Amino acid sequence: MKIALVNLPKFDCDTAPLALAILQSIAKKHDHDTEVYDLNVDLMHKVQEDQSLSGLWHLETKTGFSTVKKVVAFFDSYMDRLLTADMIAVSFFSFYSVAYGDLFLWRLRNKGFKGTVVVGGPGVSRFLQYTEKFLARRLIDYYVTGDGEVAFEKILTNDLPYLGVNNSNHIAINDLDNLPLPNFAGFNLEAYPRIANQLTLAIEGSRGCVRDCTFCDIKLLFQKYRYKSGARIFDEALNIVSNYGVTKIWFTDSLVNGNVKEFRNLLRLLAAYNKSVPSTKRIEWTSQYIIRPQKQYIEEDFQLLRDSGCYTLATGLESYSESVRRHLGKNFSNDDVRYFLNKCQEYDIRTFIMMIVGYPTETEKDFQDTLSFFDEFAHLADDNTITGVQLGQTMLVIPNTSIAENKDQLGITLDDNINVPLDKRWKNENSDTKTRVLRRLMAQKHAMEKGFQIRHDESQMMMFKRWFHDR
Amino acid sequence: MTDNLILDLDYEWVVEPIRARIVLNDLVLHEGLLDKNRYECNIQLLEDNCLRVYLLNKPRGSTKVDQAGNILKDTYINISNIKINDRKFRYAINDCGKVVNNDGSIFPHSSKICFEGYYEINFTAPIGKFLQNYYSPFGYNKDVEKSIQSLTETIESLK
Repeated sequence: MKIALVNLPKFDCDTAPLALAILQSIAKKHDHDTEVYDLNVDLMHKVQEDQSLSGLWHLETKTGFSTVKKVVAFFDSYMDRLLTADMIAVSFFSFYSVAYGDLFLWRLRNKGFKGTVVVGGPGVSRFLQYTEKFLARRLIDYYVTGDGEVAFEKILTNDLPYLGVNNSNHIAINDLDNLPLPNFAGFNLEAYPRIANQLTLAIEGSRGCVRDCTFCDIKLLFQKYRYKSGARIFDEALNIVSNYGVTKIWFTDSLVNGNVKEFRNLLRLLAAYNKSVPSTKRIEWTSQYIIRPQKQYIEEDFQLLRDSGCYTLATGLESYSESVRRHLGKNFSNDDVRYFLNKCQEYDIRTFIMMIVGYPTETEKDFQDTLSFFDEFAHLADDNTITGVQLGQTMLVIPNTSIAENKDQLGITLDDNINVPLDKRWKNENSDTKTRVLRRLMAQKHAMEKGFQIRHDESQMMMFKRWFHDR
Repeated sequence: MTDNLILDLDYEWVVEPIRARIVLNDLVLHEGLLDKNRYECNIQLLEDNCLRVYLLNKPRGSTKVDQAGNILKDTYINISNIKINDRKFRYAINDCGKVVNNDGSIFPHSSKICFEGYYEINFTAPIGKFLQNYYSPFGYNKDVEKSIQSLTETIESLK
């Protein structure tokens, strides 16, 4: 059977999509031919090359006829090849993929595709109401919720029904060590952004999160925390180095150090490997990481981070108010933060800090505490121990998360500002949309004055201004 | 206000212990045998500063080689860390530094002194600003002052 593996827009990709590489591996295991179509990266390049096409990247808001026509024309450029496939497996990464998916799937059938269409990914699991409609309109034959590996194999071998195929009763795969190694053959790796001027490939070391932060939807997506052993992750790293010549790795985990024992094992293996090869062949990696209480660290942890090739740890500090952080579910103290960041400086490990402005319990005093972070750690911004800060779009209340479930307790009601998306349009005694926008801008200003690099762009600024106005 | 300087040096010697001189601007911070890896002092930085580390003695036989010419052990000083007011220079040690040998040869972007000569780095104070400028090509903030001005105006207009 010939299977086309399709990645839909849109998300800001850093590396080749892991989902397609895993699906390809499973398809190859059953002797199927595969072709990879990453429409996300293709569209990203198209828009970068011609700014007049920027609307194509914002299909969720640009629903005008001319944009839709252009997106359809973009999809049409792949149709001749896609129509030769027997099965098309489509990956929906997020909510944004739904709008593109609707058009893509419609066009596929409209062009006469008679084969099997399977969709999966977080954009399917989290927004099932849209997927159900695709099924009802016969645009798709199967949708997969939750972990896709076993379900996809069941579809390929026609071993159905199965939990998670055309229903939401998926079961989490516990043994990640036995999943096939991702297969990036046929990917145009050169098309992906380079990190520090080097090709980067992704490895998924775990699914889910050991924390249960009130604002986060990771638990809804992945159910429980599962992890690969350090030895298995190391094998994947070697697979990437030997088969694709890539030495830069991005661990896609919600937090790479969820299981401290396996994480240390991995770092020891990577450190030993890096010691045994010339500097040009050394593995370097980056990931999201959770700060742990100081008492959980041993000195070796920082040596291993450095020697294993860690070049940046992205960590969700969220707030420099201990009470806010405690409420949202991160139980490390400001002393723990100090210890961690100073150790990172000592061992030349770079960090990237993620923060939330306007958490529902954040008072003006809490906000001032967060601002004090930029005063206290300005020296670490200067010397690039903290390479940047992401302040986000202010606190959003994601449906079904713990914070959304406890709205009444937190006094959260709907703000009447119609310019603000629903999940960010809320108020309580501590803040409303305007307060949060002001705090967000003040945080950015203060951080920049102290020398911090802030990830932002002009369109974000326009968005905040728009939110500020009621009409 | 005084400024705190930490200078970490790696070194090895073959024939005789290394004699070194560490000079910041006109101030000699150390002269004599290198007997520790970390030198720390409180100094007063100028607007423009020059830090030099001299390797004063490398007599004949200070590089051990095997028959194939591979270096087995050498006499050298490597500048492994410069930290001023809690800010590490890291890559700037190399990128902004150079090594000048007594024979006049110059090795820009270098921090290892392998012959009699010196390592030199020039930097401005305040150090925070110097390092921010150094890292700015790699960061997100392109025109910081303009961005801050624009943010100030936006905040004021929204208040």
